[in-house]
Amino acid sequence: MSTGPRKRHGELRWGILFIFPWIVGFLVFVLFPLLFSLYYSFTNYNLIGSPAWTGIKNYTGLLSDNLFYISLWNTIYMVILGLPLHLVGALIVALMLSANVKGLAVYRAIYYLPSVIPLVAAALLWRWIFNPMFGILNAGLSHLGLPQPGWLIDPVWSKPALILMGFWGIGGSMVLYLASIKDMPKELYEVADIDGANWLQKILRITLPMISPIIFFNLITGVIGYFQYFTQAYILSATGYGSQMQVGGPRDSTMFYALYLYINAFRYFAMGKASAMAWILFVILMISTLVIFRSSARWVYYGGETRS
Amino acid sequence: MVSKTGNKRATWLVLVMVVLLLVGVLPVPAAYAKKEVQITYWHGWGGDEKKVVEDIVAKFNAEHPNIEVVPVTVFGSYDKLLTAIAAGTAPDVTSSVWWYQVPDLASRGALTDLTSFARSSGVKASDYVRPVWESWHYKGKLYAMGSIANYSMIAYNKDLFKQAGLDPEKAPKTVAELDSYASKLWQVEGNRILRVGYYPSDLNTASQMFRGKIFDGQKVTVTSPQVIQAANWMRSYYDKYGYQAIQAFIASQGNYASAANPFLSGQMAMQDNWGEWIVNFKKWYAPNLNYGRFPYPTVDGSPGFANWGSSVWVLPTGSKHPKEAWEFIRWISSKEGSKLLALGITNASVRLDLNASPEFLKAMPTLSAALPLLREGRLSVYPAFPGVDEFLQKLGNIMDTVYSGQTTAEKALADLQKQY
Repeated sequence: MSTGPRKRHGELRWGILFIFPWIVGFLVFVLFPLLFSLYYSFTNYNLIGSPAWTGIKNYTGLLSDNLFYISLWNTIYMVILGLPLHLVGALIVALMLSANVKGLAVYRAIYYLPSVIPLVAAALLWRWIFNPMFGILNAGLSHLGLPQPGWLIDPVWSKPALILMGFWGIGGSMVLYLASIKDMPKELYEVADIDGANWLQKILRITLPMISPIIFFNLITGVIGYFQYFTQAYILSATGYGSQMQVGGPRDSTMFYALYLYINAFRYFAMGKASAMAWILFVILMISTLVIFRSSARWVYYGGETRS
Repeated sequence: MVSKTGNKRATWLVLVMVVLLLVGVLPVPAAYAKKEVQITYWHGWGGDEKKVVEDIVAKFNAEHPNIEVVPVTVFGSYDKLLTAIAAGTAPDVTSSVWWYQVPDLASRGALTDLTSFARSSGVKASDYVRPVWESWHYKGKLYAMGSIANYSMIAYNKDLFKQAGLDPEKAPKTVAELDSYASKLWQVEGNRILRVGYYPSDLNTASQMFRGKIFDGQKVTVTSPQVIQAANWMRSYYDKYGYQAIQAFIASQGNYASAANPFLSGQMAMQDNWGEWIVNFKKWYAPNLNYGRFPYPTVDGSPGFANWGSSVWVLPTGSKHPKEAWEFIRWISSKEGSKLLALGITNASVRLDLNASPEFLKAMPTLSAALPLLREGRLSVYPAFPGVDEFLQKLGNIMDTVYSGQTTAEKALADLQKQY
């Protein structure tokens, strides 16, 4: 009997031991750099030489930096327009793939397949699809007699092009929806059928509430992911060669927050400014996540709960 | 008892983990550390060129019994170089730096001053193409030396010249002549471009064609009358042939180093910025291309000029063997080293005498068009100053609004000037 607490003590020690490599990794590679970036954000630091304390100059400097606002706006555009389309698109595909039709496994594989392709490879492929003169997209549009935008070379169309490309990568969110839909008790639908509900009512009243925790999860990870939108823009907006390469065009229309942060850090080596940008992004993300969390009580439904 | 052995075991496990961690972090001893001094050399060449560089390094090593240069291919290493210097793991010597980055790196304290090394080694400025030699300096001190260079000019397709009724041996000497040649070579059907005659590619070059500069050596001067004139001249091409059409044409080009390059495929009759690499590109991608090169013409008919660019060799701050690393730089920049490297990868040399040698002219026939320019130092000036990358990014975006007709050159460039 008296060995109880001691045993638990021993378990704690073993527990700590087993996560020891992770703790070391976290302290050395995450927490330590994180805190240092906070310090750097108050300094002028170009990587060589020691950082010089400048107070909040990096932050006030950003407030008068035009490109900072442009990059923030571009990013919010993606979060507000791109993310909902992405989530709804994934949901629609998941609903369709949850139907009982022949060859379902094949469809599922096909719709998930693009998510397996590395982002960089996909972006390079889409660069050709969007090619204004020889691209397959404009060839199709011209066949249908529709206007053919310049896509990536037109500041108005560059972000919609990226959103369009984003549909290609809905596989990840879709699989989560699908698993959740498949996991729902059949009785709910049977009862609804008896009550004479139509398909739309079933989706709105049964499916959506039941998978709302997954929507919630996809929303949170999506917001974080879209605020950090980087790879596709970095690849697709690149013009010029080698040392002359420029990104974020045309006319800064694809200069996203993370891209501008990267350029400041690793092209201009303004580490202080880049760190300040990172912390501003952190605050923005914290606030958006909090707001979504707060709102979740109203619309996220967990099976084990009863509504008050 | 149970807890005590458990404790002991735990301690051992922790120890083993710590040791494993350290082993992972510590560098593995190099495979060949036979010679007295071993220096690491970062360069940016891959593929066949990597082999050339490695052979040349092997030759250097054979000639220097006490120095072992270990070449490492490091791509995109401008970023990596600064990070490595900050972390104290910089290579002893590197050539993954562009000439125009020298002031930026030197102003950050990333480079070792080579002035006294050069003096004691008897390096002579007069051996080198003058503007090239000058580009290795920052605030009067020598920070870099080069070996190879590209002197780029406007390349033209002789067959297309003949088709258009132009004399393929008579290059335009003025901007007006260039314009008139271009208009004869353009082919447009509706709003579709069939063939591009020519369009100017960058404001820095265009400004010097109009005898002005976007950077006067001290400060940004994008509002000078010549620069404004040049910007309006560039815009005239977009006005004439359509901004969207030209943008679509540019965006539709395949990889520059491929048969889909519009100049190589005959979709473009004249194109800016062709250096000596055109020799290999013709060999690999367009064996039937019948091309020539001519210097950038000027607005007043005064002698034209070439653009140029090159990798430079530098000693990053923290180089552990500066003396030996300098010896490598000196050698690669000498007649012997420069000749081996330049002919090996088909580049021109930074040295005056080599470029004029029969071997070089045989390997790079159109280099002859550049010879008088090199002798007289008629090369364009690049805006090499600390922060140049950011400046060029802004300039590119601002000029885009000018070409598309959103704003005037006067207004856009005045806005940019205000920031400097």
